[in-house]
Amino acid sequence: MQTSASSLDEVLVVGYGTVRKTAFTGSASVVDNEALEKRPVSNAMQALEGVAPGVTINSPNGQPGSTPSIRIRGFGSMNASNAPLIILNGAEYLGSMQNINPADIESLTVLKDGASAAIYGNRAANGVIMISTKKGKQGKPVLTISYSQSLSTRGIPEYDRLEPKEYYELMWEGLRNFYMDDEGLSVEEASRWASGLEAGKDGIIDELKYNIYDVPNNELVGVDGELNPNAKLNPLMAEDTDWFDQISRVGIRNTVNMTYSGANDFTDYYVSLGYTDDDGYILNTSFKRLTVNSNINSQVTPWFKTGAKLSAASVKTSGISDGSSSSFINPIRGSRYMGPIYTVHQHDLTTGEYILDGDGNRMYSLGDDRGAGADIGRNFIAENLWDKILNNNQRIRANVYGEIRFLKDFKFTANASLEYRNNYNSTSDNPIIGDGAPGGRLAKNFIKVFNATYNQLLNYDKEVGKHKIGILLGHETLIRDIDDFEGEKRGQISPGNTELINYTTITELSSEFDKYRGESYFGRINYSYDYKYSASFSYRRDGSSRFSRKSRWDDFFAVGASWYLSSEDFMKELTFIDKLKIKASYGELGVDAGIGWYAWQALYDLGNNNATEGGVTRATLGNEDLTWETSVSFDFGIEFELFERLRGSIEYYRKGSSNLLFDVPLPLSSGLKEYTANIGEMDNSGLEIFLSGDIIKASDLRWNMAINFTTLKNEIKKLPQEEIITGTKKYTVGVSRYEYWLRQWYGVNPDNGEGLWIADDTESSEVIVIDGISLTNNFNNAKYAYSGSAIPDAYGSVLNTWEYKGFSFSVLMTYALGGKIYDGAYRTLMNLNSPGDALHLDMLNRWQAPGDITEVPRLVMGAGSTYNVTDSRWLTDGSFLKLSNITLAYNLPKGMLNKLSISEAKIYISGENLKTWNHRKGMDNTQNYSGTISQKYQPSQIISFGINVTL
Amino acid sequence: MKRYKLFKISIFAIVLSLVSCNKEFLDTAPTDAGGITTVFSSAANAYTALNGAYYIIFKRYGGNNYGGHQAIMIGIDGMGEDYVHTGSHSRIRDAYRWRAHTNATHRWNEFVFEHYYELIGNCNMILDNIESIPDNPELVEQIEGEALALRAWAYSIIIQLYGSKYVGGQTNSQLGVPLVLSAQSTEGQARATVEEVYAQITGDLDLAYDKLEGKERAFKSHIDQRTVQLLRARVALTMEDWAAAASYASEFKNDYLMSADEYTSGFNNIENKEWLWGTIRIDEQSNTFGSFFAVISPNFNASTIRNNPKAILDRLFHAMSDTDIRKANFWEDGDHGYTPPSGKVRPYTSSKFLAKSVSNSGGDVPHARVSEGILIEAEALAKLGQEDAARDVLFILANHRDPEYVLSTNSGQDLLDEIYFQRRIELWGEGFRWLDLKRLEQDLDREDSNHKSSYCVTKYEAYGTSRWNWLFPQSEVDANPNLIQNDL
Repeated sequence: MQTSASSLDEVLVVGYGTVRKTAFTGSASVVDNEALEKRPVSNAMQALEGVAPGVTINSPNGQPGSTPSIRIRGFGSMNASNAPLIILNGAEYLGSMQNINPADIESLTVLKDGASAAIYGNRAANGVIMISTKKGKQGKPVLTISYSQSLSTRGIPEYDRLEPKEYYELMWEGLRNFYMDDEGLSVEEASRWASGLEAGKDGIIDELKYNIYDVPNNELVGVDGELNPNAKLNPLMAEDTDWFDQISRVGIRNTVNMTYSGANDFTDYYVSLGYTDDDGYILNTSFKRLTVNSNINSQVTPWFKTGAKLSAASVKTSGISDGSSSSFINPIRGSRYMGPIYTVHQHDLTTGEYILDGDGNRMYSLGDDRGAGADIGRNFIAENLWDKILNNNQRIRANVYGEIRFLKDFKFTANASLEYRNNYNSTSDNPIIGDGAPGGRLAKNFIKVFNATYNQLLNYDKEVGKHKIGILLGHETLIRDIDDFEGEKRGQISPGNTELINYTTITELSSEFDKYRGESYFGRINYSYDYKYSASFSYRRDGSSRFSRKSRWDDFFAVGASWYLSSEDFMKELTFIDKLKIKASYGELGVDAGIGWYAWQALYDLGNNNATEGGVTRATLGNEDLTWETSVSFDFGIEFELFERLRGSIEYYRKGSSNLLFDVPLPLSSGLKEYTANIGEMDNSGLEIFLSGDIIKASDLRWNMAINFTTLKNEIKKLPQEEIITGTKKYTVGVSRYEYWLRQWYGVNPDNGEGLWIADDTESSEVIVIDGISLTNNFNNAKYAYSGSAIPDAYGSVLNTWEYKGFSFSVLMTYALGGKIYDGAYRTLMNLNSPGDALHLDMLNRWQAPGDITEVPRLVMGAGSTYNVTDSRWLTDGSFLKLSNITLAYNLPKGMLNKLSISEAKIYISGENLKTWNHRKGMDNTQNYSGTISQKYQPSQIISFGINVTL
Repeated sequence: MKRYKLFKISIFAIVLSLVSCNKEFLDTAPTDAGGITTVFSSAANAYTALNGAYYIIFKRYGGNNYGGHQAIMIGIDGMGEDYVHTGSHSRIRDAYRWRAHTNATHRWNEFVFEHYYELIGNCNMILDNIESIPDNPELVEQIEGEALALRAWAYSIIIQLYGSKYVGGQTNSQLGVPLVLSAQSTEGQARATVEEVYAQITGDLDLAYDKLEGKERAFKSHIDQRTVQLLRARVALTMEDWAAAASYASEFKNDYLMSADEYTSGFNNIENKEWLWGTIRIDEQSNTFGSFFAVISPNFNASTIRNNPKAILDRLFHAMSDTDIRKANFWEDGDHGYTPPSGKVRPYTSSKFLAKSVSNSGGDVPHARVSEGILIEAEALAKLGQEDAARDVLFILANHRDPEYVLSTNSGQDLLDEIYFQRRIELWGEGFRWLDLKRLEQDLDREDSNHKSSYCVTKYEAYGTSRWNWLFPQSEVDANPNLIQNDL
């Protein structure tokens, strides 16, 4: 799985070519197909988890087929994209990774340093991931067949929440306290009201609307705040309160791949067919992918070579809405925050019997008998079953090239990469409940994308004695055309039919055409003496249509050098050193992604009509000077191999970004929220360590352990204004972009149970002083301060691999040390703003009587926003250890296989995302780089079984 | 020889391919947006920018609670005592609870500020570029007049939210809001005084009045000269300039007042002749749950209407005469017959505003009506001590609404109270009540009423506490170092 030990002539895929590893001056990590096989994931990017220092991936969405986001060596951009450039078979890949069958991938190469990425110039500031697909190999034709089956379940458990008994009791207490505060009642009177003993008052059930015990509403919770000891849960209702259980299942994935390939002296060929059918652990979520891939290359004449890689993919997904965490139909959100007393279905409130429709089916609760905090009028289970979010996308991609060799050392290559992609989305909302009700709603969206990259490369390679020189000159154009067509109608006519013709009223109908153009000139010189001393120089000039004529072109260059010490005579004495290389590189890079296609232009938005009269509104301020964001990378490292057992590398990197593409906030009073400008500078630096040791190296038993360790320091160096506050963070010079800026929570006042913050205005009338600190119970007067960073101090992985005879067993652990998570989900569970929403177990620690020392304020129903605000109370240590993967594989003995005319066969069992140890049950540490938590479709835990057979 | 030929071909190919694409290759332009110069290249194009400004009045800023000015109308009425939540469903509830405008980081608070300044910014763009429009001077003048009036209208609302009230007959040097008058300025501006803001408003309205002289409007969604006259009267009343208010408003008492049938037909049709100005909502722009009617109507099938149908203050209801047609829009038993399936029936609920249907939340929204002009004149005359005239003017409206109404015999504070009462029952739900409380220095009093404390939280707030001035949104405070925040 790790960068494997290299023999002297091993080559590495780099931009527009290959290079011998010994002469490579940059920093790269390679994941080969063998390593990919160990991670039976449907999306190849998931296999990058833990493989290389300096590469971070956040946890993938549980939606089958989804792509995790990846960061290489930190966060170079503020508002522009931080995503690495993906190069598929030599041309930029702009589509979704889910369209690529991992089984077709020969290798993934991650270019981390500035110099090796610099040949991709202004597009490569965030690093480069190069994907090469498989090709046929010399020898007899080979047929391979593989099959795997996986079972998936929720990978991260739910937070600990209150059960019905405690829930009713705490809600009662919150209501009683509310009556005391707002009605000025005595404890006794307020208790009677809350218990529903006052004429005309139902007390707590008046707020919660639902009683799943077998006692009358006003006998449920006594005036002492205890649940009636004689009350028993109505079994039919109680069994119907586990919402997550009813929307989830064990997901099943089946994957089949078949390839045949081969090569003779003139032609090599590779053809594959792959099919994946993946049903997620949430009902109605699925992913189906069919891929066909071919790669044919022919040496037509000694001087002319040509080839084509053709691939087609069809992907169908059915999903749930979790794009916005606040969506009422997001089942993760819905099941997390639903009070433990509400039923999925309608019940007779006296007997608890299910209410059945005319056909005898249980009827879903329409949510009218719930407290204010429990999604009144909604039912995410019914809505997810009745609504449909379907996506159907097809991709056809062709890479064709012609290569001419002339004058012995020259080679000219023309490449064309053409891609057509269609994306057809259909979102239907049912007419019974939810956003589609009443009437029903249907939205269709068709996106057609054409991507083309054309490049022309001239290579000159010459070897004279021990001198080796390689020169590359190139030109590239990038074309991207996007058609977007969308329509929405309401008023479904006949049930079941979700085509627009079956709806009455158009609520949206629109189309749009966008285009992007890029052009580049570049060159590179590689020089090496005896593979001992190597140097590389590259230059690139890029233009982008995102910028005005005045400022769209920019120039970049990079240099790198390496010294292969172990080839020196004076090192021969040190026999324990098998390999030693020192390298350093410097590169300038840029980025234009992540901002609007027409970011420099001052525009009015069309289509903002005043009823039937056409209307336009002011959209952007424009900025003619807008240009490329740039970064300067420096990398220094050593690579070594000792005692024929220990391999590794230690690298220091530093990446300084400047001219940051910045959405500079404007005062709202200016009429616009922000404008895009090149302002700001940011630094990322850190240390990357990789060690791989053969602990046991016997003839039939091997044990290898590989360790990754990365540190990252991010620091803002320059800003457009003194400070920019965004969400839970504040940007100022000298701190990281993920530094929390929060109200300073102090704790709970033991005298009265009020929440306290450190006071900003210490002269204010409500300020009290405890232990010499001025405190306030008014969050509007709370002092803000820096409260730690979301970026871990260090992160990495540990991989152990054992091989015994035909068996191999590997265990991958990933970890992060330090960093803080702002646990907004926990915060919501600690809020008694509205009756009806679920509460965290920690609420049991609430303040109850003077003298109580606790972190949880006195419960007052409806007073949620008084003490439950964005502040430092919700920060949690982000350190974690995760059991990411375990794989056990067995290569069947050749002797047995030969009898069956099979040349190789392997069976394996593998587990993904098996267990996480962290500081709060339920918290998903790696959900966002910013350290915040949303109600995302959580990553799956996957157990797979598979077999690969080669004929 | 063959090699040589090949060489030549190759060089040719390389040279060809390395030659730059032409200069236009990297020029792109959007299809969903237009450049500023195009927008102001003709009067007809500039007119679309004016319509864009009107669009902003009902623009939705994200969630359902942020449907432009019309959501704010509900919020401002909701902050008073006459508009009652009967259930706990949380649409525009934090405003009702006084939890939005008192919290600098509340999104609803930010939305209100963002909304009016976006409208002002769009008017400023028009006014900045108005001189450069080469053709059709007549239309250009109309565009300018409407843009001035719209900007003045927006300022006339926000000045009442963020500044302490304007006290008549003195220089109001207390801090108001940033007075942004050009789209070119992106620097944060300090707050102008309340006096300066009102001077700008009245000046702009005067100018708009002149520019709109003799101009015909194609749709009542546009401000015309009569609307400007009503806005002048409204602003003068807020400035306690009773003489001006009475004078500007004097033309409305002879105007059309809607019939009893029209009064109970749902307040959703701009063709109603009593409406001077409003927003036209076509189905395509209904905003569904973000619509005015998706919150305030009794009949649209939305969770908030099923669980929290909106009611009138019980004591205000009982104070109305049974023969008053306005009472017919409220239902003591809640049985108005519009309740959607599985909706709650709640006492004192309103049927004043009706959505187009149970599944269509569309409907036009009034921003200025004739009856308000009459009420302004009556109040101003009473304040001037011309009580006979005030009673006569009041009679025109009150008697039209209630045939049994007889000429008032009240005087002094009683007469004023009667006029205020008429305002409350006439303009319920139209976005006035909290502004009136602040203007009239009255306490918020929801005690002993059908307001439930767990829904409304704030039951009583004496006039004059710091909570009567809205906090500026934190995002403005952060990006505008010149802005001084109101007291917490």
